[in-house]
Amino acid sequence: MKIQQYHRATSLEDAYNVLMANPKNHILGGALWLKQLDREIETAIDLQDLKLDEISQSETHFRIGSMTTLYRLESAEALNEWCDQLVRSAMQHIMGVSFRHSATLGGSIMGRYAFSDLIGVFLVLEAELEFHKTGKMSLEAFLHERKMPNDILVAIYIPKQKGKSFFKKVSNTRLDFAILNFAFFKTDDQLRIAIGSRPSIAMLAKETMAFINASGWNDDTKPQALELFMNEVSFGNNQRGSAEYRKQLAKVYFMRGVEEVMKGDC
Amino acid sequence: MKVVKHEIPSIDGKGIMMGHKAYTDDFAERNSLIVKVLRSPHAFAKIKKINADHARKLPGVALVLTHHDVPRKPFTRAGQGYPEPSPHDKFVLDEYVRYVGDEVAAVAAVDEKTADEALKLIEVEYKVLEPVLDFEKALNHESVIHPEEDIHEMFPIGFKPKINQAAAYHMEVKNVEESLKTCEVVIEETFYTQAQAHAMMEPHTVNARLDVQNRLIIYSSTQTPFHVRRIISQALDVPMSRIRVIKPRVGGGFGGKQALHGEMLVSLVTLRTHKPAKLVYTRKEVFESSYTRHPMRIKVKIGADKTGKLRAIDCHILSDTGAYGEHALTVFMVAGSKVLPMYNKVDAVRFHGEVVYTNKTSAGAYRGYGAIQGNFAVESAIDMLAHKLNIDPIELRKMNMIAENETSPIFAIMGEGTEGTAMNMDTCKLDYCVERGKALIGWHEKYPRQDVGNHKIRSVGMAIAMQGSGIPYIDMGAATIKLNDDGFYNLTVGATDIGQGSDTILAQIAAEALMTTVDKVIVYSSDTDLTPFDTGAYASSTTYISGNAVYKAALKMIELLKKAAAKALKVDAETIQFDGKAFSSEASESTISLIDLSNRLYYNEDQEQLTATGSYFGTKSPPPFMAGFIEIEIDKETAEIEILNYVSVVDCGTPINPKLAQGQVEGGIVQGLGMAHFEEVKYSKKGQLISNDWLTYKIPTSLDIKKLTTEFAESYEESGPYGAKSVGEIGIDTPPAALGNAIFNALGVRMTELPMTPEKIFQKLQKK
Amino acid sequence: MIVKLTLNHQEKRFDVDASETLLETLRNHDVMSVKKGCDASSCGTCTVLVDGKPMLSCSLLTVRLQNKHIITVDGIHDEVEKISTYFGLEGADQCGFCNPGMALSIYALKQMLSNPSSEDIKTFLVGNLCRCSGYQAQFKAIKRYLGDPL
Ligand SMILES: Cc1cc2nc3c(=O)[nH]c(=O)nc-3n(C[C@H](O)[C@H](O)[C@H](O)COP(=O)(O)OP(=O)(O)OC[C@H]3O[C@@H](n4cnc5c(N)ncnc54)[C@H](O)[C@@H]3O)c2cc1C
Ligand code: FES
Ligand code: FES
Repeated sequence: MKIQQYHRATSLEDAYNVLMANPKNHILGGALWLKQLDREIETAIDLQDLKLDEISQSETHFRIGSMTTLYRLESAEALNEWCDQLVRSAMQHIMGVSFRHSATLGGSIMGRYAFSDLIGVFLVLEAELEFHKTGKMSLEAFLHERKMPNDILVAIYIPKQKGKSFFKKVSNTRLDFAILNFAFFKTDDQLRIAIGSRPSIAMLAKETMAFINASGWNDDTKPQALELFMNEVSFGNNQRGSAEYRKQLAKVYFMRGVEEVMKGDC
Repeated sequence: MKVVKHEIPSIDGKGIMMGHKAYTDDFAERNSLIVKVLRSPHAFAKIKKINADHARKLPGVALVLTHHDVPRKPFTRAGQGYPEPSPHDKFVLDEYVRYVGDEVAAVAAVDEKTADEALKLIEVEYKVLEPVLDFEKALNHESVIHPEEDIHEMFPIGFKPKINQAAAYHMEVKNVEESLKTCEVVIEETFYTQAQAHAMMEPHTVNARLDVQNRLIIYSSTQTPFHVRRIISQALDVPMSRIRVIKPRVGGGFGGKQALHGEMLVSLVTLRTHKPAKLVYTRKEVFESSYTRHPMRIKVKIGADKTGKLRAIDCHILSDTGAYGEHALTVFMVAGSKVLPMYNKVDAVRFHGEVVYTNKTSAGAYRGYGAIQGNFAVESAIDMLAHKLNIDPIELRKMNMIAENETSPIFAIMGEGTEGTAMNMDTCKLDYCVERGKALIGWHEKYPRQDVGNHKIRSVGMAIAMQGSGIPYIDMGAATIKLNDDGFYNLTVGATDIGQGSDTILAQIAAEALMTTVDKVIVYSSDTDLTPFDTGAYASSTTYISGNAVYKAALKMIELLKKAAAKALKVDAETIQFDGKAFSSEASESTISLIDLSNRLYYNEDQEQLTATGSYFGTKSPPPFMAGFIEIEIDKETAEIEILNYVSVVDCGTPINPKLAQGQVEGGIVQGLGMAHFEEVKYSKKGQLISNDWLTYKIPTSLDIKKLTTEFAESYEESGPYGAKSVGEIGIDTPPAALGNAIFNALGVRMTELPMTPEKIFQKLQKK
Repeated sequence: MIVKLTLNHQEKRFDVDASETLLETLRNHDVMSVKKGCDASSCGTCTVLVDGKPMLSCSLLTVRLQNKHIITVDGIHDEVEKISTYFGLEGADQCGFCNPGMALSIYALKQMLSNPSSEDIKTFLVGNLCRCSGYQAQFKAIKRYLGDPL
């Protein structure tokens, strides 16, 4: 990471103007990922004075500033209570504590990392993103955007829904990227399933979700649900695992995950 | 014993944790030139043209070195006994580059930025050659990795570079083929072990400067300072007397620093520019351009009769030494010589094979040094045999394994690239280790498996291992003890503390012998100007070899002290009694304390400096033994494994410092488990190293192992200092086989390839 | 660019360029207790405390640290002395290269978690790699330190 200039933004508008001034200007999150890249940065824009590292809540939503660190996310009691510790479980599988004190929510979303353990979690929690200029957009829509918005992520919104969660990261060691990861969330009437690091980026298994939400989860529907799931989700090879092995993991943890969140239900 | 076998805290641990300067880079001159290396992007290429003019003209660049600017004299980077059993096949810089990451050129500049820029300005035109990447196809490959005429072996090791063979070896006791024919059961299997990265925390680091006598002073993070001095002198044609190598604290080595990495280039820069210079390998360079463990293909045949008595073992190994032949033959031989003697009752045994060059990162010394590879194959095959015979694998081992006072013909046949040394097992508590480990793991209740529900199976597996204690007639260590006024001592040793705690345990040995405490023995180690010679920290030699040297020096010191005391008390030296603090004699009423005596010696009367030097070389290499037992929980559906417990029961003779010895064993176990389970050096199809950082090369973390249980057998090796053998390597040997055996016991599939990842286990299950 | 910060309770001014990491700044100014194991946020040897929080100095840009309080082992002398005493007693010292970073994480752990379980301790320290020890002796030492009545 080579940086020519450092700019400490005084307002979002100020940051945005600098960002627009040159395609080689970049926003700094925790800069951990930026550091991995051998990228030449003309002006690095620091948002630390803009109070974007706060988690607040309204009647209906949590609002999490984009500069919130992963450590803050895992320690946010109210948030984790609402989501049945789903956020915390995922965070605790990302590197160590010192790392999570630097890594930010914004950098984690804007990177759209295929290996991300966090994107699936926010998908099943139905997160919505707020950009400075572009305005609001669901995380799911954002993942489907072909061109990344050249904008500043300000915050994300998580609707308050009580539910049961399941998180699983399969990896070779605790500090490795996932071979496959799973985030399940079940509210009163909705089951949502995300699977990531396939090795492509996390996705919601929408058809499967719709099927289970409509037909329920019982011995009759299970085989069909599994089949739907395996058809709907695609798997590939990378150095951490083959498509074949990922398929096996997917089958196994699909069943285990749904069982877990459906316990005492249906 | 008052000091030995006591848990003395490491003498420098506190200072290090509290942040004092300790490691090589901490001592670099502030204004050092920064040395950076241009590395090959190709697995195999010839440099057609190299133009460094632009780089040389860049302001701030002090020197650029290409193969045109350096002496051409083949050497080996391996720090081993001299003449080395490794071929002299390396040049400081060469017109050929033989792996991705090989050195093309070096620059020295005022700062890192300028050095980086200068690297970009060097223009290189390569003729890209067809690389040899599959070691099973290396022999007689149409690409010859070392076509140069001026390379050579130092003595016959089977060096045939024209067919890509770095070394070869064959030995046989009786007739294996014949013997196998008479066996009622024969197991035949091929095993593969992978390249493993040392991944020590401190990267390879070196810095150099000239002193007021214009001598070259090198600080190096090395396991072998004396070899570094010799090799630099030979390759750069600088008299040895003009070089001083200082080894500060070393942040881990594991064999990876038993070689020169960067010392040549930094020395040249300082010699040419007369300026201090430094080089710290980036983590990528550590992975890409230092060393790995030798990958091997091991074909094993084991024959036995119906009762389980072993008759014959045949072992053929193909070993991959990568681009250069460091430790090629010796690592290969240890795969036999530190494994096969465990089953000493066979009628016939054969060990043979080749070590080949490939266009990959050079393989070199790595803790275990071949033994871990051989152990995986043989100890897996023994379990296969047990299964076939329907005998408990522990019982099968007990019937066949070596015992105290026994020997094996292999000791005499196989040595360090040459003939070996016959020896009896004066200490071998393997039987105890096995029994005790069996009890600690709960073998009786747990073997082979229990279904614990929830898709999980728990199982156990085990393996036994042996290593050595230095190389007989080759490894040597020396120690000097100096008495100071006020009655404390300096202990200077060539022995190289690389984090294994040798400074501490050598101080303990000296303190025990001198009947004093560790704080009265001030250790200084590994400085080629100031300390006596030592071959270095490798081959599990330090405790046994250097420890014996310290012990001898201490006894000599006591003799000198007694003589001086006799003079002071005006009696015959024979009559003097010394208890570590004071001298007395039945022939005299008076006594004199050590403090008074030393003050007398330096200030008052009969003034004399007392120093005593002891040296030692082994005439045998008493093996430490161990039994390793693993308990795992494995998911039947995904093959994910949790390691619940690893029990090690070790016979290392007397553990000089039980806690530090335990640390050696446990550190070895965890490194071995990493190799067994997931660590793997990976290349692309073109020979690019993929696993070149800690994102892609994974080592065990605090969460990956639940529990380690480590005990020592009561054992006293007469030839060792206070009964000690070695303990530095033995821990790493058993995990691959023990884990493989536990996987078999759980799921009935035999893993023959390391690492045994869940995915590979799953694939085997599919085929079952 | 001039950055004013507090290093081990002392005000400092560093003249740095925009790409410089805190690890570089510290080592350039003779704070040798912070180690560069990877320079890529993967090993924990460069751990420091920033406003009390453990962070990886190899990935912190010094220019961002205006007015922050940086602590290395040199700044919590008494606590590190204690930690190192237990390390010594448990034989947890090997090469030591991971130790200053580990000590800072352990200190932070003590501040941040009350009554941690073994699993909590391991999880907290998972980012501090050690290639030598196998971790077990370190955990025994850490437990003793955490139980230390002060
Ligand atoms: C060694 C390592 C291991 C990792 N392991 C895992 C893992 O196992 N699982 C996992 O899920 N993740 C992992 N990650 C990813 C990590 O969790 C973070 O997601 C990542 O580091 C990005 O966060 P950051 O704050 O460092 O972002 P930065 O590096 O600062 O930024 C990343 C990108 O996002 C842009 N950006 C940042 N903030 C904003 C904003 N507010 N608006 C617009 N653009 C913005 C930046 O310009 C940059 O392009 C790992 C990362 C590293 C470096
Ligand atoms: S040097 Fe910072 S994490 Fe490795
Ligand atoms: S003691 Fe060597 S890395 Fe931890």
